[in-house]
Amino acid sequence: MNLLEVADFYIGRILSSQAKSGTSVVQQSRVKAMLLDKWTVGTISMCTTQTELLEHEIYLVETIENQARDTMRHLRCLVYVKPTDETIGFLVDELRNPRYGEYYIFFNNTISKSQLERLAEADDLEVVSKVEEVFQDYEIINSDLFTMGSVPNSPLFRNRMMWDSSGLEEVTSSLISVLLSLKVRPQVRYDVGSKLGMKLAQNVVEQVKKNDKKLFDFPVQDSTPMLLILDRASDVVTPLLQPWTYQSLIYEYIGIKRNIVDLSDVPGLDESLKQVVLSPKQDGFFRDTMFLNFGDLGDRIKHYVSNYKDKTKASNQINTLEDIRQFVEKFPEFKKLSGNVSKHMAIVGELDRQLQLRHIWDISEIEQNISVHVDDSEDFQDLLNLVGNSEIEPFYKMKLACIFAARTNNPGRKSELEQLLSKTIPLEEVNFYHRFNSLFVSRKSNSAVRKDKDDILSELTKKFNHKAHQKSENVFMQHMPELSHVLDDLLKNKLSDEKYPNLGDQPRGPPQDVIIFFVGGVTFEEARVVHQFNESLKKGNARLRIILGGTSVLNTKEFISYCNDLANDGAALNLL
Amino acid sequence: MVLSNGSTTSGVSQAAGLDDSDEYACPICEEEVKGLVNLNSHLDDVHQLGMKKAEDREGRPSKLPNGTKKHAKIDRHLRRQIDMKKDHWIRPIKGSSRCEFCHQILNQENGIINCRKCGLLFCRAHCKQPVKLDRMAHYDPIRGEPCKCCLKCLENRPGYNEFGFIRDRTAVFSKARKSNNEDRDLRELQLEHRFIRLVNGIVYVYRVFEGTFMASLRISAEISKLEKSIVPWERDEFAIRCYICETAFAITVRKHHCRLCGKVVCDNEINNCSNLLPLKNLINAAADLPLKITAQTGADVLDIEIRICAVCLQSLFKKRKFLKERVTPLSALLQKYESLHDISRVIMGILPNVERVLDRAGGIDATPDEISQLSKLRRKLLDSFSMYDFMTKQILQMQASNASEARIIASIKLSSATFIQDKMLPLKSISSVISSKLNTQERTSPQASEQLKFDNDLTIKEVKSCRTQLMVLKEQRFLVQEMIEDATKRRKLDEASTLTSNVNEIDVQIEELTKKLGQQGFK
Repeated sequence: MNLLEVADFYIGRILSSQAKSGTSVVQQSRVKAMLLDKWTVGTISMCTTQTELLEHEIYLVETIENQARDTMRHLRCLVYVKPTDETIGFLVDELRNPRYGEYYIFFNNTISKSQLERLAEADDLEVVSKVEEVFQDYEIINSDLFTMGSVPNSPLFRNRMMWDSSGLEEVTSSLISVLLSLKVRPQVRYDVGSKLGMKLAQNVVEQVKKNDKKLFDFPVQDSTPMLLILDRASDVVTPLLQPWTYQSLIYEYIGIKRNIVDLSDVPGLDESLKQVVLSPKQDGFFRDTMFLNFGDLGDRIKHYVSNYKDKTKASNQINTLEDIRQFVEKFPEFKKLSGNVSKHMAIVGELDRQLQLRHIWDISEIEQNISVHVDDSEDFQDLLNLVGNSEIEPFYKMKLACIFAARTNNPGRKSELEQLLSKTIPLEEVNFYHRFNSLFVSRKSNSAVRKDKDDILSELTKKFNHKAHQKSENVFMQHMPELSHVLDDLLKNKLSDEKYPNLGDQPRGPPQDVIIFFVGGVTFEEARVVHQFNESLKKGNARLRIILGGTSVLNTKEFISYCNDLANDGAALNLL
Repeated sequence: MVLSNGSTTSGVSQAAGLDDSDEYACPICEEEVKGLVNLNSHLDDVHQLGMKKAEDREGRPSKLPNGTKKHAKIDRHLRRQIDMKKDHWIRPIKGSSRCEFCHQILNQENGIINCRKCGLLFCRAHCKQPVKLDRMAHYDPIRGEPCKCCLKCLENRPGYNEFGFIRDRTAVFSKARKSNNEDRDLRELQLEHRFIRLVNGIVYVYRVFEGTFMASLRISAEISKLEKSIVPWERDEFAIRCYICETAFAITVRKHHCRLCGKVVCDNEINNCSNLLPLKNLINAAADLPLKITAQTGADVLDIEIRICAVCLQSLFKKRKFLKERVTPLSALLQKYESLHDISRVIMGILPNVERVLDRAGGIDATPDEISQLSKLRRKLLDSFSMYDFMTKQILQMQASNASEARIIASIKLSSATFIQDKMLPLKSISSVISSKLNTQERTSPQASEQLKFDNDLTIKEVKSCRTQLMVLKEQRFLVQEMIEDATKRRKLDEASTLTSNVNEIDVQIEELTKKLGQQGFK
């Protein structure tokens, strides 16, 4: 259950497809062209490198949407596309007037019979030598984190209760491809409080049953894998908090898209560092540090830099022949290291600047406190001070208020905060605060009751821990996402049947492989929790393997806009 | 379970099973047993058939209090344990057996447990993965019972580590394509047939009427007769619109007949619905058809133009054109690349050889033979590399015929740069091995030295070592120079400056050496 391995396998399969027969008369070059569409461009750029493409003699990469391509009759063409109707249309045109000599077509999901027939009809020159389905209709971010492809056609949801019909179809087929790529035929469970989750679960089960013999004909396992569908609405505090791991910090403050970090807005940087590639697959340092918090990260960077300095010092003293020889041999490694060091220095420097600029340290401390210790008067006073502080951006004040509202049981304080809020931040943000309240907090009452029962004990221990080891705990990472409770329950095989009903196959044995999917988006904080969970189990007790996914990865801003989308449509619905 | 056995013994089978007084012979040992129930318990107890039934019997008979029920459960559990295959278990040795996973010494405290599947010993913490096993301790996901197993056995279950489902749709695709193309092929054949008749007919008409009285008039009359005999023409008065572009016919939009399908089309220059095409072009494009065209066929025949609609043109000539284009020779760039690839194959062929020889020659007891072999290989490798480099440069200087070719050239540049960088490494170690070997060999064989001195007071030995040093230096200078170029190109100026200082140092050393060598230096 390692998504990066899955990607490597599929990409390898596509790249190394060979000509079947030694075609005699036809003059063919070894040079290959690759034809992608707007969806698979992302997959290819995240999962492979240019070097790897060049190794397979793929010297020309084109997109199928581009109509102005040159005709190169002697090239073989590897096509890797998503079977949407749009792409099939382009492919039909391509086959009617082929630009290359021979085609090997790979789809990243199932292709329907009618689509296949359309293609077959277009191929009157018989240029297609292979049609194959591989299953990677999703984007892989970490070895255990995936999201849906990055180009959604339309908003996925109408509102909090209803999917957009094409959005639902898209998410379902994407999830089906996840299951197929992991060779898993799961029991499907969903959060009973989520209408969206239920609908998705029903659709997935239906699809699995429909393709029972054709696709999901895997040997029976002694434990049935599980697909667990959760809703973002069940934990709205986690995406509101400021994140602290390296990967999430980058996503929050700089932005990372298809493994490329855009630093062009950063003042005073070298030209070569404007856009840097950051992928856990190629960058060992990043792989080791992506889940570390900012403090630990600082130590690692320091170590890394001093290590680098030692090496350069050694290579500066070149006196003898032997020194030169060693220098020359180590040079490529040395160059790589220097590039990597300056890259990470630039990123961390920018992060630090942003954190200082926006007073994130102060904000995050209070965020964490109010999310963990419910209704502590000291925390409340701090909160009021911060909301009154004019240096803090209104966005963060509004976020703090939302977190407080989601946690508090004290209406008096809430109204006190609201009064202060309306004085200090613009109307728009106040509006959002109320929208957020009507969306999630009004519902909270019943979910809180459900939670209270089993949380009394954990709450107690938390309090105790807080009092006893106040110093040892990291103030900025006190909050644990709801997901960690779910993981605990899974580990003990005590996931409640009422809260997470099962739709698919009847399970045999406790689950060993679990795919958790968040409707509405997942956070890097949750990815860290899952990663640590997986790592700790790897060390001795690997009964559970978890893969986490979501309709997207959210940072705080994206979560706010997601809420806005839900709320806007919801208002329209209420009018009807 | 074995109820059917009851009827085998006595012919009186009507409801006999309920009567305890009936006697049955056991089908296995033929012992006489009274009553079916007894027979069943006999089979279960003596012949150990049907564990399940036996358990049921134990649990069922009396309403036992909870405690005993629990006892029964444990008892069942024990029974299963006893039934499991155990002879593959490794016996623990007190005080020295270690857990296969964490390697701590096993004792009562941390538990001494055999993995039920592989039989190896583990501590309690590392042997608790549930794997369903049958009685022979084989993995059985359906009927097996969960047993304590180690991590390895859990991970090695078939299907546990599988991923990457693939479905090949080529067969379905080709089938659909075949049924589609069969119809089309038939139509194409018909068109081809008409085309042959038309061309051959025209040639015949010319042969017959050429040189006769009023030849041109008679010929054109004959040809139009011929054209109508090949395919019945659609009647003009029924055609209102062009059948391809659907433009309504008018004074400016004239009606025309396609000579191959007989349909009425327009002559629109933008849509290209139909065209007058010279015979010689058509014949050229369809050289594979049995046309009666000979060298004697006059030029005036070949200049005749026939009207063909776009649809017929496509189906007659599209495939021919495509196939023809595919067998044209590769473009200059692609040809060059093929030879570049061949050289890289040669280099890849030499490299493992080099590594083998290098291993042997690197040892202390390397023979001079091996060293000379090494230097021979080295020369060969160097030659191939310079050839490779040369070819790459040639490719880079080529004029790209289109944008795609330009991008291919850029890609080739990148890949050949990485190729050289990757594969040059063993070359460097060769030169160091050779130089060190030569040194030691000269030291161990002093007999050849001393006497022969060159005019600049150097022994042969010294000259040799100086030369190898010089060679190494020059090679390295070349490499560093390349790196500088690379660095400046990527605007890493700090790197470039360190490198330049390196080059300067190397240059100084080279100069010293050449001075020392004087006339014995390389020419």
